[in-house]
Amino acid sequence: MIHTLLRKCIDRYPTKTEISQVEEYVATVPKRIAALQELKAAQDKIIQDMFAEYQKLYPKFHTFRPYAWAKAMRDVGMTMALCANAMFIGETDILDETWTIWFRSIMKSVHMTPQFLRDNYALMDKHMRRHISPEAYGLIKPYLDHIADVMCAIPEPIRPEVGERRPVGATR
Amino acid sequence: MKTWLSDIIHQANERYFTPEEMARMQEYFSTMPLRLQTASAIERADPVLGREVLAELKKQYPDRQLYSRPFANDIAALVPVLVHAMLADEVQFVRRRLVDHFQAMMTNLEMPMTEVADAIRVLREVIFRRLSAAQTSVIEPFFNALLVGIDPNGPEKLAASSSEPAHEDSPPEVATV
Amino acid sequence: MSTGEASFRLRPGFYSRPDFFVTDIVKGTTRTATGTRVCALTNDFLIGFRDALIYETGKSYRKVMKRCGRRWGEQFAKRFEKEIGNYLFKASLSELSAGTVHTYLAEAFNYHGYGLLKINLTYLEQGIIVAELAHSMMPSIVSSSDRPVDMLMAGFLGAIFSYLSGQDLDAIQTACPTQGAESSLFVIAASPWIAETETWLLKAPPHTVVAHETILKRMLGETLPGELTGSAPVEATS
Repeated sequence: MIHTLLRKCIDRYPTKTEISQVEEYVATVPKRIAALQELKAAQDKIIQDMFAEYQKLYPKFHTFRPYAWAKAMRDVGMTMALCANAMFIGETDILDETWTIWFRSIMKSVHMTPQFLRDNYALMDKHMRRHISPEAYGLIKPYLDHIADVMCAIPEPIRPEVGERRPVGATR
Repeated sequence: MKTWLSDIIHQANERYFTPEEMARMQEYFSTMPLRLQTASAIERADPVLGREVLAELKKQYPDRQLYSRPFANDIAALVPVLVHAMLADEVQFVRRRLVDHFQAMMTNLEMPMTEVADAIRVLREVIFRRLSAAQTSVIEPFFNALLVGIDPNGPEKLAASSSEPAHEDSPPEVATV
Repeated sequence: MSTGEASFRLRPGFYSRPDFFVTDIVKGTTRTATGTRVCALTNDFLIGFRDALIYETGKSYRKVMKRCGRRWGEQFAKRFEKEIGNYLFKASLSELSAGTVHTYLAEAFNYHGYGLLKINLTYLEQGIIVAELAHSMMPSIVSSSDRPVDMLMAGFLGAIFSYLSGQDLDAIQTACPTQGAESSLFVIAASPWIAETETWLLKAPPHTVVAHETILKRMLGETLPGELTGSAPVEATS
């Protein structure tokens, strides 16, 4: 929010709309700090529950590359930290500049399917909602949705490397 | 754009912000309403700054030939840079966009730095008349950084040492494109 | 470009704007504050470019390189007019004092990574400008040479000062870090004068460094036209 405002206001004054947006944001900062701390504390549990389900959904995924699930868990942990930080500063621009666009290219290059990624973010969403307060979830969700929208915008790979999908119930 | 805030954001990279980082940002964010109010108050004065600065300069320094209308307008045009630095709480913007540049300009044009500094002091007076004490307190360090930079022996030296923004100055970026 | 009669102007630095180079990672583009697209040229590219020119054009590569610099400088000068004249001052560069223009030009060099430029107008009345460029690109990628290597920048400076002065000027490099100088020095003067000086320099014995002062003195008429002295020979490696 403020970082973006500073980029826009070089050699010009902030507009009334920008001022009111920043004022609204500043009023929510204590809640954002609490939400970040809540998510950080719940992270391990979210990942554990999420991957219990994810691994059932893609039972052959681990056959495609060594430590496939361990790497996926690491990446989800990073995603949660980036998501929480973006929520705290109230902006997504810097997320795309530093991470999502780059990470999407990695996912594409290792032949992930859009469905595999959609399932990933749907499961993150589902288990975040279960493990953190509604207020914290409400603050974080728009940023998770943004990450999901950017990350899932990849084409179907010619040779998918995620294995068979065995749905065990509606996910998202 | 590199600021102390973007440094924190980039350094965190793929980990959560630390409590210290969040505390630093929270402290700064809490000052944003005042910084934005100050920017608005200065913006309201902006259309008349050039004219008022020139009138005041002619009154205080009637013999100085330097003080023309275009010069006064240029002095007034420094204000958005100071406001941007104040909004970002980033004194390096003043140093790099104004101080370093003016020092080079003064050397190339063999202009007396004190006459430029006096004009900026008049600009400061004209602006401060319109600000509350709290608003003055957030913009003053950036005026001081500018004045100390271009007129190191001026009266702002002492003030600057006590009102310098709290954070360390970021190292200069090097353009490599 | 006015040499002093224009009113004193004091706008903020332009190239030090925090948003001077903005990269759009979605489009994969970097643009300046006025929208000009720029890209980074690495040392690898410059070495490859120079090697290809030498391979393709042989002994003519020095002239070709300088011509490339000239074309580049002509484009750069137009952009400089747009950025500093039109955008920043809402005026033509010719309405600004020389000191103002030179300050912005040096900052343009600095922020584009071309090196640290100092302009010496001591011999302006005699029709000569001396430019010093520290940390220039070409000398930094050529370790040593029997002749100055910064033809690209010589062409570049010639074009810029032609644009700023409205006269046909050219530049010759008179000191080069590849020959032991601390920074590159260039003498900028009327094109025929530079051409004549270049021809004179070609008569120098192989592997001889002709000092900047020697060239300058000759151009100022302080030595006989045919006199050509050099310092100790250096090994040709380029």
